[in-house]
Amino acid sequence: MTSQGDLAVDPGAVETRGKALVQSADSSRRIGVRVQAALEQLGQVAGVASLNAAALDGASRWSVGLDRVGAAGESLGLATQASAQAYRDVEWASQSRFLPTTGAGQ
Amino acid sequence: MSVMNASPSALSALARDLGAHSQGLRTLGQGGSATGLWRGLAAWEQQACEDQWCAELTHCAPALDQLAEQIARYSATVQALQEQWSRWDARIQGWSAEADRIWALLASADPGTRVALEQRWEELTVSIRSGRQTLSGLDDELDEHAVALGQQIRDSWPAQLVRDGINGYGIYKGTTRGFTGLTQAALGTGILSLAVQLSRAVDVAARSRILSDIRLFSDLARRVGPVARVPLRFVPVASVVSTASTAIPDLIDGNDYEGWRGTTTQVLAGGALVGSVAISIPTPVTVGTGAVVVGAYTAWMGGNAVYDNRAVIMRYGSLGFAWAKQSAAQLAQELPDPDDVQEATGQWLHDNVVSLPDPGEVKVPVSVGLPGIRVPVNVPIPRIPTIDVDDLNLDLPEIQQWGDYLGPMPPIPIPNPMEFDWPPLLPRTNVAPEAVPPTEMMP
Repeated sequence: MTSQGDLAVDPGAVETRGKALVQSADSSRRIGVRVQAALEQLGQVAGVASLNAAALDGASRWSVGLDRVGAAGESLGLATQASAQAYRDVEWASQSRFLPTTGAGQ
Repeated sequence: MSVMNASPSALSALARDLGAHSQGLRTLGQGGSATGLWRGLAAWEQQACEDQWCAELTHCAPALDQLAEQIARYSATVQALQEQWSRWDARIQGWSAEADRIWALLASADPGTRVALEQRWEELTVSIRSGRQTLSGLDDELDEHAVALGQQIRDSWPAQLVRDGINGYGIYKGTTRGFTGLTQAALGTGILSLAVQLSRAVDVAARSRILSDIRLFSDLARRVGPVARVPLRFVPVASVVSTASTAIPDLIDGNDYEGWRGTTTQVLAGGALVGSVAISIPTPVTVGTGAVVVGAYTAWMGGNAVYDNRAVIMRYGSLGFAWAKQSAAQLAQELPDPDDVQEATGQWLHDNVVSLPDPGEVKVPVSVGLPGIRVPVNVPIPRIPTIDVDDLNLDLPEIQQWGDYLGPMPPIPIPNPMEFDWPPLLPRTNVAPEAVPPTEMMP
């Protein structure tokens, strides 16, 4: 764990959190696909042909909507993982004898 | 027959599935608990974004629950209508059978009986007609329920609650980019410093250690930022331009910067392409020259990242500021003479660049698309960018401006999450740092 002033970081924990977010985003997308499939099936078992178009429309909205939410979560998860890498790089570089050290962490 | 075409059991199963998916969204929306191993503004900012994302997932769950409930109600309606339909259909079948029997008896019936039979036949005909109208009415009733359900399905996605795009994520990513930029700037300055030390070092052991550190720094710089990735196997330089390198797009388009920022980016990217090869060649002279141009390019691009994301970096904390300021001061003290750098690099180019590949054979990895949705593609270069030694004007003091621009360390706000108004990401600008009022830097 690195302690740097107002930053106190275990890059491993940050990366784990980022990966968990990406997994959650993937799960939300899969739920969107399942909701879409269920609503598409609804049009076939509802007994009324006119319901089919509405069911397909609703299915598309849920799929696209949850896909966007998933994409946002994935983006956040990847940014979190990038933060972890940035912390690692900073930690590595700050230990170098050639980089300035005064002021850092003060 | 639409009533009987529906499947209440399948509808109920679908409603249960949607309910399960709703529960799945709720579970995802609970998110992970904050880690105690990550504190500070970046952690706070990430947590705020994650909470927002989880809230959006949670907002979807009631809408899905409601939809499941509506489908379950529709299923119950179908079930009730089918039971009515079956009862009426049985009655109609019975009436029809009786009417057929009466019709058969009419031919042989005596006049007295015939009147009574005809009267009964008329009654049955009316009942059958009425029963069929009732069946048709049941179909119409189901149609009405279906229309209502269709509208509910169309309106079920909670667009008002889920905003799809979240500005906060962009802010957070800007913070990450800016933080990486600070790292790049410091690394680039470190490489430059090492190059200067190499030129002054006489002791063999010291030179060996510095050379080793230059390569370590260069490897790290490749990982952190846009520095040419030119493996040793691509030497001689005839193949350098065909190498997958983040410096090549910068060489072509100046990282989309215009004016003096674009020109400087292009010149330094070209220098870094050559310089990264120079570092790979195990001779101290070329390593020193290569280190200078790679360091300059790394520091320059890091400085640009800092400048482009300065609004969010202001909130990042003391480490980055102290580091960037110290790096800028160190660079000012140890900056190599640009004329010497240009002369050495020009000589190296003259000695090593012997040929370039034909136009069209070279493909450059670039990313295209909208912000946040970038897709990597390989684009053929219509014209091989040539590196004219006379154009290699390494105006290194420009790099120092980025460090100077950071100014004094500002106070770091710890905002109330409910009240803080995130500033927008600043657009890329060609305005020189001096022309921007210092007050803009303050968060």
